[in-house]
Amino acid sequence: MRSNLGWIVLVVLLAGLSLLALAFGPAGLTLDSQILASRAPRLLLTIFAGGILALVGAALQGLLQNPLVDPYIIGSSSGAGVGVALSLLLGWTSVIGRPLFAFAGAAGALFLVYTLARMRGRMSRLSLILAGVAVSFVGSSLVMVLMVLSREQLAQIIYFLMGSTKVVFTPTKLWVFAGSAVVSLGAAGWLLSRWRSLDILSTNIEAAESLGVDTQKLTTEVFVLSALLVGVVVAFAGAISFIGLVVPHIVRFIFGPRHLKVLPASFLAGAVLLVASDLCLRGFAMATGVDLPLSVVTTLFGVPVFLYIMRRRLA
Amino acid sequence: MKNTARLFLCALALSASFCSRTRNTPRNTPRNTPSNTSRNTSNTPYKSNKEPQRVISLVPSLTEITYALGVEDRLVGVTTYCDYPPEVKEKKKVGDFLSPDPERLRLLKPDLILLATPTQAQLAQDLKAAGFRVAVFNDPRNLAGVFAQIQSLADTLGTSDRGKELVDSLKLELQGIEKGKELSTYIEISEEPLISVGGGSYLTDAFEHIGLVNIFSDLSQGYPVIDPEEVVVRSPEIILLLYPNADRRNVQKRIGWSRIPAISRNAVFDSLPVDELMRPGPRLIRGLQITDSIVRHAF
Amino acid sequence: MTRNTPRNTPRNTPRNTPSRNTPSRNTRNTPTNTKSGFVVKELCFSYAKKTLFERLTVSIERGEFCSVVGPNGAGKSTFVKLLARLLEPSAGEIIFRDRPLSFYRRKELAQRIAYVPQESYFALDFTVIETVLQGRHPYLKPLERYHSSDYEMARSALDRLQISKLAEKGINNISSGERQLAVIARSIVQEPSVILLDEPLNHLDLFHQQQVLTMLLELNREGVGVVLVAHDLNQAALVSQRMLVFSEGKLVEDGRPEALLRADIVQRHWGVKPLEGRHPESGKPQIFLPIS
Repeated sequence: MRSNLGWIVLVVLLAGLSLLALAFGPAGLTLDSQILASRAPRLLLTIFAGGILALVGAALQGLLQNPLVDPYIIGSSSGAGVGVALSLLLGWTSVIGRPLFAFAGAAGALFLVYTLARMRGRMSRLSLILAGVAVSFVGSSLVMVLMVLSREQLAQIIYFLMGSTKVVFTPTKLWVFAGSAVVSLGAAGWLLSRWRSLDILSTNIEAAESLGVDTQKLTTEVFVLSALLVGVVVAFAGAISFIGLVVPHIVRFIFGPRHLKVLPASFLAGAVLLVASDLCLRGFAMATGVDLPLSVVTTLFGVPVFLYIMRRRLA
Repeated sequence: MKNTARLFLCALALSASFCSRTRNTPRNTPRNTPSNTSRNTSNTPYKSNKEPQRVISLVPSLTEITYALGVEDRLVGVTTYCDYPPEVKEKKKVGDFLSPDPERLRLLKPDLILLATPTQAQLAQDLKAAGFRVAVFNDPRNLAGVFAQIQSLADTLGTSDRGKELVDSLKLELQGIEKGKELSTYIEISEEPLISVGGGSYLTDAFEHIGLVNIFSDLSQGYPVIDPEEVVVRSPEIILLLYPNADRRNVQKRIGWSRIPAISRNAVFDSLPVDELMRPGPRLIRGLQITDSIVRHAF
Repeated sequence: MTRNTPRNTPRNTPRNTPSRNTPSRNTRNTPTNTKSGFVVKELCFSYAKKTLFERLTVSIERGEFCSVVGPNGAGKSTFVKLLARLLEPSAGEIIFRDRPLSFYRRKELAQRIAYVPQESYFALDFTVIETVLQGRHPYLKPLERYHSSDYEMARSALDRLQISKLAEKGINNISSGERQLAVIARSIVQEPSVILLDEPLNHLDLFHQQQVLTMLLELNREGVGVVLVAHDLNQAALVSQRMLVFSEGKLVEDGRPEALLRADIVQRHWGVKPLEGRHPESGKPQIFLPIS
């Protein structure tokens, strides 16, 4: 069956690419423990970021019934950006400081969006999207204001927000990341448990409610979990674009629309895509000495596949 | 109707996500890319019969040079980023260096506006088109360029003699710095992400003059984002942290870096004269001097 | 794996029947106990500052086949949605099987009441069988997957509606009539004690209309209550035992279809005086539009 093969391919790809990422780098092919010790956390971060972004993208596309939704539409990346910019401005850039600020920013944006969406009574999917877009815009403007205020840190903020997996870890940071990752995986598991409700949500709201799905509660759950997960990712890796948007489509194309498969498969596929992109970046940098932003590579990978799928679907 | 509304919202959402992430490449100082084909001729001396009397400087380093040349009374406007010397805060501000307020520019009735390429190349064109007289200076890529810029600005302002004096004294100061043993150096200007200094920046050449050889001098970019592992591979003997709130303890704890000579020998420096170093202006030499004494003292 | 289907809740003493004082109502034996059906008490509902229902009171027995008819804007769809708890009344209450509707937990309610909307859209391309399986959701816990017994029920529902061959087809790749049948199959596997349908036949061709109506009759014979909002008076008369006529938010007629399908009654509420006739096979009254 197509999807069984798909699982095998994904797992094999992830394992293979991870091995490559551990073995391959500017220091060459080496089993040196120091080098491996610095490559491993980076690999974990890459897998985590790619997987979570794709998973959240899939969940949100399912919740909001909109194939063009990406994890940042709920405004949490702009919020995280504000948090990061603030931390730089205030000088609280310690190892824990910056992720904390980023996460706080994401949570703040989430709160704003939620409040806005509920202003007219019942929270509908439409009001969520609109509120998310509004908060994103506000967040972006705020970031720009903070950037101007922080002067020399301009470049830093911009680069951080563009997204990068070339992160260097200290033991403290590693612990903080590990803790966040564990909690995040729990949240991801919670999202996954809602698979059937997400399936059912793809029909009329009335029909879904009559089948016993609490659409308001589900919307809140998915929304809050997604925003927090995105907050954690942005806190450590910046805002990597395109993975959350494109990977769910690829996955649905191969595995079908059932969220029971789409959610975990998106995690795997997102991780694969990001590890592959990171490897390409590394190779490119080693060969030419030029550093490309990660989002450029993910977009280069993602767009042709995306277009191909769209063509197949519309045919 | 339902469908068009959805389509519109999708487009809005998509463009929103793009706007929030794809920003223009940072055009702030200090950053320059090599091989720029700027149609403004570099270091254009102001061709006119008389010296400019009402000058607006949109470049902080040029503002500093103007003060150093002693002709600051001719300066009628500066940017909000111009912060040295302290007296400059009494000058009228026209906005930031990327998008100054055109109205304020006009109100000040300048007869010359100073700009730098390639950062402000577009702005220079826009201002020229708007009828202002502009003088454009290339971002210096080495120490010689810094000195040349001082002289060139002096010429433009009609104070060539004072320019030569200044340059000579700076060169003398530079020679006075005792060049110790050569040390391979990793210069960090950002922690997250890791941004270092490349061959395209004047800092590489400047540090080399005091015996600190940049490990990334082979990179043509000015301020590249780098892979942490590259630092490990290139094994610098000292590390300079050139950003505010730098803490060498954080750097020393980085996983995988313990065998870098700079770390194992505790040669990470975080209390450096960042302001002086990060501007290609008259204070640069003093900054080099301070850096040199800090580094050599530890050795 | 055992499934909890607590369907026989202990019964309280039967409630009083609500008084009915709408004029020109044809009498029938008013039941003295409602036998665990719907009891609507003084229901008020308004939206967009317009009041639709004002102190509406009516009872529907368990297992009744009830049709809801009336001119446009009468509130038929709203009434049925209120019964399904898809809308909240502004005043009054609805009792279902001797408990207030609001007291039921969501999934509990979904095990008893099924709702078929007028038109269904499906944003994701599930197969027909996957869609039907979703009707088992009220019986499953969050992490639980579908059991083989669920699959069996889904398949047998498809069989009954004679759309088994469509099982693996995408839900959006079949005709709207077949899609409606799939939705009805989904409501069947909910194992409800009453099915509420909102004008389900509107976009169906004759073949599917017949299938749906036959299916509903079959279900009703098995004890499942049906509340069918219908546009077509004749079809409603053929299948239902009781007809509720709404007009502008008021219940204006309540009785057997035979008694209500009269020219004068139809004219009073629809504004058209039809010709009376009989169904050739069953002899049930039918009306015909006078157009020449």
